[in-house]
Formats: sequence, C-alpha cells, structure tokens
Amino acid sequence: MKWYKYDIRNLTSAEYTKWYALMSKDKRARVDCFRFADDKKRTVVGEMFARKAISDWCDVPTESIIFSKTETGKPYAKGLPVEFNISHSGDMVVCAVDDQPVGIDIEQIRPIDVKMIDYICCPDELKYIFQGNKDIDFTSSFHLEELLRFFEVWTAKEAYGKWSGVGIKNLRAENTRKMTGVISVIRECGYVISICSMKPPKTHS
Amino acid sequence: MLERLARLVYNQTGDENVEITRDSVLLADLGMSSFDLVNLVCEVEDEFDVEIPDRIIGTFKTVGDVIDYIEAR
Repeated sequence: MKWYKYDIRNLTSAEYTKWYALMSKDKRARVDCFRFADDKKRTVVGEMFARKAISDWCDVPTESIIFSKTETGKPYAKGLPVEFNISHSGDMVVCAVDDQPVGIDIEQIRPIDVKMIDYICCPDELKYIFQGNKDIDFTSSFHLEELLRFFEVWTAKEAYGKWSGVGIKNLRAENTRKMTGVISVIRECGYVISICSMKPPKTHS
Repeated sequence: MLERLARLVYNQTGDENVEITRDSVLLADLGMSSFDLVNLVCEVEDEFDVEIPDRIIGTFKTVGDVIDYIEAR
C-alpha cells in the first residue's frame, strides 16, 4: 500500500488545465459549479493524484485510466487491479492505493462543537480523548492535544468506513481504539491522517 | 423548513451563493464532507428539537431526505 500527499497551493495553472481536461464531463461540471478556487483545486488535485498513483501502481499511462462508479457510488479504475481512495481538507489532498480495499481520511485541526464528540464517540474513544480531564473547551484551539485526539478518532472512523464500504453508519458502534494494526494514524503539520489497510503504509510526496 | 435548513447548510459550506433545493445532494452538489454532514446533523437536532440516531445519517442523501425525517417527527 502506498499513500501520497499534496499541498494544493503548489498546483500551477498549467497543471490545473492539464488535469481538468482529463476529467469526465460530469466531474468538470461539478468543478465548474464550485464558487471557491480552492474547492476547484482540491477536486482537480484529487483527479491528478488518483491518476498518478494508479499509473505508478499499475504501470499504465495516466491518460489511459478510465474512472467509473460501482452501484453504491464507489469510484474505481476500469479494468485495472487497483483500489484507491482520496481525501482532502484545508490545503491538503491525500490518496492511497493498494491491491485490496483501502480507506484514507485527512482533517485539518480546527475548533469543533463539543456536541459532535458525544455524537460520534463510543465510551472507549471518549476516554482516550478526554483522558480524565473533563474541563476542556473544544471551541478554542487551546486544548490542542485533545483536539488532535478527537481528529484521530474521527479520521480513523472515516478511513474505516471507506475501507469497509459501510460509510459513516453507526458511528458510535465502531470502536476505533480496538482497530490497532488496521488503522495507521499520522499527525502532520496541523493535520491528522488515518489510513485503513491490511498492509503497513509507505508514503510518497 | 427549507430556508431554516439551508441556513444550517450554509454554516457548514460557507457558500451562500449556491441555491439549495429539496433535491440538492448534500455531498456532491453542496460540496459537504462527511464531517460537515455530522456537524449539520448536530445543528439540526438543536434547531428543530429532534433526535437523529447516528445510524440514520448514512440515509441522508439530499436536503429533502433531512426535511422528510424532521417532518415525520
């Protein structure tokens, strides 16, 4: 399994034009609907990344890859023995590829509504996030370590949901603290990344 | 109902220029992430005084799905 990360601020206008042109008509229409340039960039970088990663993994030209979707809406590369997954947040886009199902999620660390923690976390996860300290204000970035632990839990749930194909159903029922060995969590420059795979991750920038 | 829900959606997406209808697809059309969707559900619970179990979230594909759920309660 390999995973890649990319800062959308590094995307040149020439690259944007090149990868936008390779997108399907539907995807281009979606990009055209976005009002903010960063939303457009994130989607185009997702396309670029998926094509580059699959090209590298399968040794085929980037232009030859044709994307389609399963009945449940999961994207796949037609006729190629590869699984891939993409996620973006803030200025970063990440992509993971493998020969078996893989799920990846990235989130930029930011203040959150404390209600969300109760909504998505099971008792084990709450214990991990709070670690005995009940007096935490998640609406400020002052309690950074607790925020980081929350986003570790959230991205792990997302990565697991993408890996298993169940999505974000039964959020509280899935205990990510019991998934060690399947989920790798990476903290990096204001972001948390989780990867769910049966194989250990190797990074490529 | 649609206007109140649209206000909550705008809080998540930050883009008030996108027209929101019952048929708007939350993730594809409105550019919401799963994180935004869960945040929206938490806000909907407060705004409309309804309880939305986490197992239901995955069934919310469009704005209309959320409205139907609230109205049924």
